[in-house]
Amino acid sequence: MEKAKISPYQLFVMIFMFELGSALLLAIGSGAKQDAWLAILGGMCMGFFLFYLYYKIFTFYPDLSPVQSLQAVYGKFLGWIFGFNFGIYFLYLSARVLRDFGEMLIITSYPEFPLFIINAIMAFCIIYAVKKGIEVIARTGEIFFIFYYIMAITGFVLIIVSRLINLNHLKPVLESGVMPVLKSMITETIYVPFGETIVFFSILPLVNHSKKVKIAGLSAILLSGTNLVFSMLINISVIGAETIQRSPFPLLSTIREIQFAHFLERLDVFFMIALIVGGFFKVTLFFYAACVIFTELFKVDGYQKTVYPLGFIMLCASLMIASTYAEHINEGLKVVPILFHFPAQVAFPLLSLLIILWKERRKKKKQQKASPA
Amino acid sequence: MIKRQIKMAAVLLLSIFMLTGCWSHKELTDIAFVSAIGVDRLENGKYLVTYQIVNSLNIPNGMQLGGGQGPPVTIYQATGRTVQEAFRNGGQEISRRLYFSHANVLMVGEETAKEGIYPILDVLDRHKEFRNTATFVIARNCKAEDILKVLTPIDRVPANKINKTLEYAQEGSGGRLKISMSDLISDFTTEGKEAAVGSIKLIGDPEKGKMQDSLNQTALSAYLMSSAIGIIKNGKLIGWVDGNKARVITWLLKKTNITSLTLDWNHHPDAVDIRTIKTNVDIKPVMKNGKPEMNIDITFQGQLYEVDVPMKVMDMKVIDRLQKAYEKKAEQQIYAGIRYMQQEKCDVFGFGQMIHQQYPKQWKKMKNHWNEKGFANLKVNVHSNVIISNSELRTDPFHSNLK
Amino acid sequence: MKSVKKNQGEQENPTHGEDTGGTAANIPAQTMGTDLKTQIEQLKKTTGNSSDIVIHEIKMGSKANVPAAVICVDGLDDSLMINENLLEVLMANPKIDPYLDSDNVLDDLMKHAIKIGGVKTVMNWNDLFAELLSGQTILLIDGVYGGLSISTRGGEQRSIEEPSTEVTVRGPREGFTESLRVNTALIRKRIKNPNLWLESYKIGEVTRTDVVLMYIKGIANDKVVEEARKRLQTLKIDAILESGYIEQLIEDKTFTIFPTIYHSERPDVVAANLLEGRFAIIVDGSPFALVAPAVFIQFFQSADDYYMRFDIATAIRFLRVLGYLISLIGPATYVAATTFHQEMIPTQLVFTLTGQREAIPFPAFVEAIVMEITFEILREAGLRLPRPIGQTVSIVGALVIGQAAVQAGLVSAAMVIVVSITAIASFATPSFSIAISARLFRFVFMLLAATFGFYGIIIGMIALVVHLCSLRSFGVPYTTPIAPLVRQNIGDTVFRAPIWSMSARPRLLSQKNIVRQGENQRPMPPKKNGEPS
Repeated sequence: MEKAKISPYQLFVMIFMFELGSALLLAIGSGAKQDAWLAILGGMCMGFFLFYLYYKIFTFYPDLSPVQSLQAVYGKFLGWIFGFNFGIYFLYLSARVLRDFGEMLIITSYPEFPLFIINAIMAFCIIYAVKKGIEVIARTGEIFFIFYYIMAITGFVLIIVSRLINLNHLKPVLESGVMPVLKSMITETIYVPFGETIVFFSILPLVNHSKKVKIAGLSAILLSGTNLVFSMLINISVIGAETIQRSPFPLLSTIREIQFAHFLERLDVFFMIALIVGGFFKVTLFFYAACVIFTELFKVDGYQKTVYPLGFIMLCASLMIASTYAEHINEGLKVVPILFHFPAQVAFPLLSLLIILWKERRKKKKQQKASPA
Repeated sequence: MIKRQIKMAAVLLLSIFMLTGCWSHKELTDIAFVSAIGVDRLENGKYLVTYQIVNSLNIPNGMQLGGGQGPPVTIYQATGRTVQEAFRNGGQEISRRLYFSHANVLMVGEETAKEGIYPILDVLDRHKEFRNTATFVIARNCKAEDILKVLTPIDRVPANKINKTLEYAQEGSGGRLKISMSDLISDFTTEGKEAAVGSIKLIGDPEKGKMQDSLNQTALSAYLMSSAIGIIKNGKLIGWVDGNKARVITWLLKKTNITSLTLDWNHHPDAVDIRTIKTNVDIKPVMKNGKPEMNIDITFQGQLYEVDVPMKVMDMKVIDRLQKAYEKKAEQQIYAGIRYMQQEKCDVFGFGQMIHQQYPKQWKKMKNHWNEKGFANLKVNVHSNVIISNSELRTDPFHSNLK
Repeated sequence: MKSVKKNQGEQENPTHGEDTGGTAANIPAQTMGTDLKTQIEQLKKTTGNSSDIVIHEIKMGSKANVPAAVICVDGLDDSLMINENLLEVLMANPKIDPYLDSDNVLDDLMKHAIKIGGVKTVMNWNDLFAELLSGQTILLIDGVYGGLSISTRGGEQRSIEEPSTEVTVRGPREGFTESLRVNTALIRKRIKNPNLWLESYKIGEVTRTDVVLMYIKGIANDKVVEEARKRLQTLKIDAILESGYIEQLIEDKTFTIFPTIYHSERPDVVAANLLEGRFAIIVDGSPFALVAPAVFIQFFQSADDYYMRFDIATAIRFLRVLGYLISLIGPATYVAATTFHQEMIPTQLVFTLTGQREAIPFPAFVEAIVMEITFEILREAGLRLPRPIGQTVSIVGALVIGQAAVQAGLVSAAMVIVVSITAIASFATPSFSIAISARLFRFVFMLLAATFGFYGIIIGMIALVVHLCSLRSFGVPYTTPIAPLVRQNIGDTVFRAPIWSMSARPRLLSQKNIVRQGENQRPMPPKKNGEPS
């Protein structure tokens, strides 16, 4: 555990940047066509619940690191195993998101670049940031938060000024009923990005006012969820539901429609900037969580030492997990939610909470027995 | 020890940067900017793609006065069995790499459009270099290559002229349409709306139009003009709409704001002209007895532009009469326009799409053969409102005061 | 050095101000003895008979029977004062006779006879030389152990004039000079508070330079001051010739292009910083005072921001930050846009640019590097040339060479524009040290842009921001108050909120004593009834 301390505001900013990271740019919820925004809204509500669940577990062991709290619940050996699993999970996710970003950059702007180089550059930057520690990451988050918002507002203003929004594209609402929305929610939006807040489990102990964690986390999810909903609303209004279904990056298609005063056109670079900054945060936080967990599991002193080997593993993994973009997306939509996300983000925490509550109740009963009358 | 090895590994990895050699690196002088693309189909079924490539040296910039000699654009052509193959073959002729990011015009010849444009468009939709805001036009009465070969005065790059002409004609006089690639493809995939595209016509001698010298005269031997609206159904061009009917289309698509309406007055034909400044169109579908109807409310706000007969312009009664006469005329034109499209069995206005958005359940029953059945028999109620806000700098025309 | 009037709040601290000896090996180790002749011999031997050390042998008293020597350094002393107030008193003066016979000759003379302030006794050779070489006059009396050191500091120094590196539109036109005492006086003039404490050190084994640490007790953070004290005291170096030496020796992190210690030539700036809880280090012989802890945003603030009204000040600050960004990534953006992302450039512009570049043989990156390096050379040259020629050469160089290069087909006109705008933007940053950082990193960004396009620039910016956020200046995070966000102080960063609303001192600098204004300081002229003002 690092000796760092971050403030609740910094936690808020980090959760916000993390959530928006790749979700802003990928087509989440697009299975529901023009109701994609409803799917995201639903995901956000579930996200509240999931974060509250993680928070509740955290309140029982506010000063312990994630590995220590796992061991407290499940005992030393099982706790170690579960910790290891989570470490692998986070490392895998960091490699996944890194791959996501590399692919996006190659498809949208740099077709001739080898994936290794693009991922390597981002990986170097991430290793550098994680080596500096969570405080530095938090401060960087604060600075980029302001920058992100300025860009978002500028983009929004440009879209309005180019007269691109056609609210009729949102109709008819719930055309095929609620089922497509629910389906999209359960298979996509709950896990990505809202359920991924489980990664903050490694960071919650570092917040200096642990009572404010709840507010910081929930408001961050609220703000980021609202932003995602809003962004998807704009996407649908500008390019229409049919095109959303066919676009891997709907926000990019929206930005490409901006035409202002005959000189501001093809602002894809805006998209790319938002992408890289958001992606950086997401991968950094996943990677940080993985480093912290592995450092503790293998009793290395100072997690700075594990950064390099794990970083290298992350980089190579990002290249090896899939051979084509279609395979990567398919894995992400069909395999990963069922095999990884659901157990790790929903089932396991629920189970752990139940065990904790049961233990607490047993403790109370013992106390009652020990002090009669 | 391990630390040192890791450091060595890191150094080696870093040195890869030095070997990168810059992929995706394109110098400005290594790329050929394609400003317009034209696609025609040849008799043998192959596609002939015409590229209008900008000759940067001949575009005037600050340092050079007059812009150098030579035409500002050059034409290259290539053939292939698909459009993408034609692109590839085109790359063999040119000393640079074809770069499409500034291609603002995509033109298809009329004959080719009649055969079907679906096979042409996927490359233009998918490849990231193409702009989804580029304009799609049809070359009227000739091949795309003929139009792209013509040099234009005032706008050095002819693609600019095509774009600007269509845009100002669409906005400022009506009856001409400028549609972007993304809108076109969206129309293809949307239920209840057919695509309408603009066109460009070549007037004059195409052979002379290719020559730079033809620009050195006041009256040009060949020039480009915006032309009628083409209707596309199932990817094929099925007809043209011109004149007032075309204007109805652009009115109802909310693309025309400024236009002029002429009126007969007191048995003088074409005596009064108003220029509309603002046009407000409100189209709503309603269900009456299970059948859909469209209510169209169109409001024109205009100025009295030309009065060729004596008239008391400031008289409220006169203005009232004028407005009412205009409203009637506008409604007549709109009804005629809609009826024409109903006869053509092609819903370019997007009425079906609006019904889909408003009444999704009823739409499910109607959407099959919408163009032939639902749209062709659709009842339309048009109500127009004309407001003559002022009469510019004169009230009564001088005709009223002739000695 | 101890100042004349001790009741001005100066703290007596025996651990500083003491001479810890030097590396000059030939300061005599033995005591001074009482024999005047041997003392003078020792002195001459130690200083190698340096001709600027004047040894004036006199006989004191009306009967002229007590040999004494008045020793001073020619050039460092105020000879008028010595002649009038010292020699007059000592020589042929019957009034000092009684003191010459007393037991405590030195004390008596000090208290009763010598009419100059700042007199003290020196009991060993170290102190004697320290005093002598600072411009004091030494009085050695035959038969008396030790000597007197009399404050007669003088010598030539520059008059107070406007600082050349920090010119402001509005504000005092005083700048520091090379004399330590003048500089501390300039600050004392502005902060007439007994809590303004000075601690003196002599740093530099050979040069024995006077260095002063100033802070306001009660406002400055004691831990920070303690840290500064510690760092100054552990310095073991040959020479301190300028405050830059100290800056480089006590800064938090060397391998960074960002300065973590602020320096200024203006006393009002230093005074304002002291009031916010920072400490200042002033070095004798340098007009640049160091101020620490420094945060990043400080380097974009200039003195007249605070003397102007808030709307102008805010606008100008935005301009400075914009200028910094342009000077950092301007050429890189141009290179990235023209070699990777041509679709971003408006269509008409891209044709023009291509037309210009048709004749240029180099790729855009090489062109950019060559132009930038040429411009840096021109800038350096302009600095070093004598003043009348320097200005002309810079301007002529820039214009003519640029024009000629364009016409010769070596560079494109657009590149000249980009380079000029970058250079001009870099001058907008008020602090030279930060502008340097942009000038250096510009090349790194250009390299990144040429290799990876905009992606490289973004990654470079992210890495730079991460690096910025990891810096600390004497314990204060470098990017305060933006990150970590300190809401009370956010009014003084890129914007400048009205003065009446900045009611709290920077929180991380001054832990106690945060409130600096009363409530409701907003100016509210009284409402007038009826009469228009």
